[in-house]
Amino acid sequence: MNASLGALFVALGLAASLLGVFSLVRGLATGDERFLWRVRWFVAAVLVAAVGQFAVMERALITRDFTVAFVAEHGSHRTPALFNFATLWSALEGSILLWVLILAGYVGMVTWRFRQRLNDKMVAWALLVLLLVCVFFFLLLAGPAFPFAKFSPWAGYDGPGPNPLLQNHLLMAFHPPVLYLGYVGFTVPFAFALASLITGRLGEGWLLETRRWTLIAWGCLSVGILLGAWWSYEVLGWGGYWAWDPVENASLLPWLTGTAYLHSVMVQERRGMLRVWNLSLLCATFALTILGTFLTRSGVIESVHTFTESGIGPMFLAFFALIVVVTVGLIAWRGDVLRAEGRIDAVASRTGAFLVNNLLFAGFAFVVLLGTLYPLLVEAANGDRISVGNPYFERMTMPIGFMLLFLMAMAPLCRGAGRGPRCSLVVCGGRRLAGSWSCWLVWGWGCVVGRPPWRLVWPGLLPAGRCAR
Amino acid sequence: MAEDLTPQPSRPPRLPRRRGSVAIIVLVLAALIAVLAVTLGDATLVFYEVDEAVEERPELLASRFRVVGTPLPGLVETRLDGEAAVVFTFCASGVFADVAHVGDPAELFQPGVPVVLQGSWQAGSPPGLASLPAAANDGWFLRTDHMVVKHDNDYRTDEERTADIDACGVTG
Repeated sequence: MNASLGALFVALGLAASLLGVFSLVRGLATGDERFLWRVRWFVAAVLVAAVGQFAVMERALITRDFTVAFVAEHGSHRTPALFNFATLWSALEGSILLWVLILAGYVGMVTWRFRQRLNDKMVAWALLVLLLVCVFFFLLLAGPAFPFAKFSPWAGYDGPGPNPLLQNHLLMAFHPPVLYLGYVGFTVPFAFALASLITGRLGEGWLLETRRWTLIAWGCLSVGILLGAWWSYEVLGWGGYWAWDPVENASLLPWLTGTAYLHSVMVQERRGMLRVWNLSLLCATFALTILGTFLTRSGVIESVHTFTESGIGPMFLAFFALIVVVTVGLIAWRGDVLRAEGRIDAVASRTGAFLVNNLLFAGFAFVVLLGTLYPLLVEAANGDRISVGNPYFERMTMPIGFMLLFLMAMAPLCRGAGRGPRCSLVVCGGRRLAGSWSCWLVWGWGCVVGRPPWRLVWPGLLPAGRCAR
Repeated sequence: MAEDLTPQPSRPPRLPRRRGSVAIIVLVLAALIAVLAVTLGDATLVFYEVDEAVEERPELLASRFRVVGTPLPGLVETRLDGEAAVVFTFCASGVFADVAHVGDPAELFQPGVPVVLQGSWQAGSPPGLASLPAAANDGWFLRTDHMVVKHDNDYRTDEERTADIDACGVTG
């Protein structure tokens, strides 16, 4: 029964997403607003389907319904309750179920938030993009990642249960969902970015509308990455918090571009600059979440932390290519309108610092992306299976990290857009730098002499505090 | 007022400012690309399964590489060149390789759980080899110093792990 019910919900979700897309396309093409208003019912159906299929799979896992192949392969009577619940996202098909649930949740929240403006073309286009992403994920569930296949268990059958290594820490229950909240959350600002490009409403209004969504996604991704680092440090023996494993890098890449976007979008809000850059960063962030999902689930990259190899790789790759082509095409199409209104006064201004910060984040992302994809490129070129070790990532990212830290201290001291005294970069910057260095020196000395470092660290903070005043 | 028609010394033509900036940017980018390429080349390690690493041994000699394998039962804690080490045997497709991992192994390290190691071939036999039930003992061993436990969703039951080990002719 669970298998049939689950399959029914998958079919409902796919049908509702497709009908929602058709309704929006018709409404936008004919100008008939009834079709635009009607989309809320399709979104509601998508939400029901996503919640339903998730609940059915959890029910099957909790009741150990081994007639569902997923439960037969990954469930067990011996698995403790919490990890049994988390079994859903510990394997590929279940992880897509979780992804769809979160995506449907975001689509539902966007529809609710803009429920009075569903006839607005901008909102309609954003919902169209969101529902197209839903169609893609429901297609995955209906096709290569179908989780409700049937199985005929024999008497006394018990499944193997999840990998024991996934049952050794509480974070198994929290790290993946929080990470997915971040990954999937970037779909919302991406959808609005595309909508603004399509409608030509390229002012700063949509940025303000989507700021909270971006912050939520970025916050969840940050917490998810931190939880993963904590987990690996506690139990996995990966040699610390971060091992530059391709799967870890896959989560870091959208975080880097997302962080850059959160900084540069302030420049656009205040001065109307960096429009192309911001749109590119936002689209890159979403594209990188899809690329990361492809890397994690296709088995193309040797990692200690991947899902098993599956047939969903080509679909993800095609989706990634589509995103890149569409966004690059749209940005090129709107190139003239996107031209900046203002100019950067000086590099030693706050705007200049934001720009340098962005270049550094972009450079950081490029270095990590290159190191992550290099084995793929080499294998495609000459068939050699290689891996890029930590020395590359450490040597290349450390200087960028230090420069970012330096900028974090400097940027607040720089003058803002056209107001305030000239940047006191040399005087205050020197003091602050001296302050931060003395902090570290005093901290280190405290550790050496065995005195509580916080008792010694205050003198180091003083120069920076004076400067800030 | 009469116009001054005295010939003036001609100014030397100045390179446009923009051209100079572009040249500097190109130089910086070229330097960055060179640094990237060199660092990437230095940090690249070839990835082998155990049987491939044994097969490629004559070519690999002292070069460093990554190897993935599943430790067989029988782990010997010992010291190698004054450092703590754990000695065990890998097996894949009926091919055996002895391993001496220097340093603390990962917390979840145990027989039957796949690990990825970094190191190189070394001639000789590590201490404690005689205690291993299925040592290759072929005059070579993998000396490794970096270990990560594979943490994917490849579900291997205890029975399947035992079967893998049995396939190598070792009793788990």
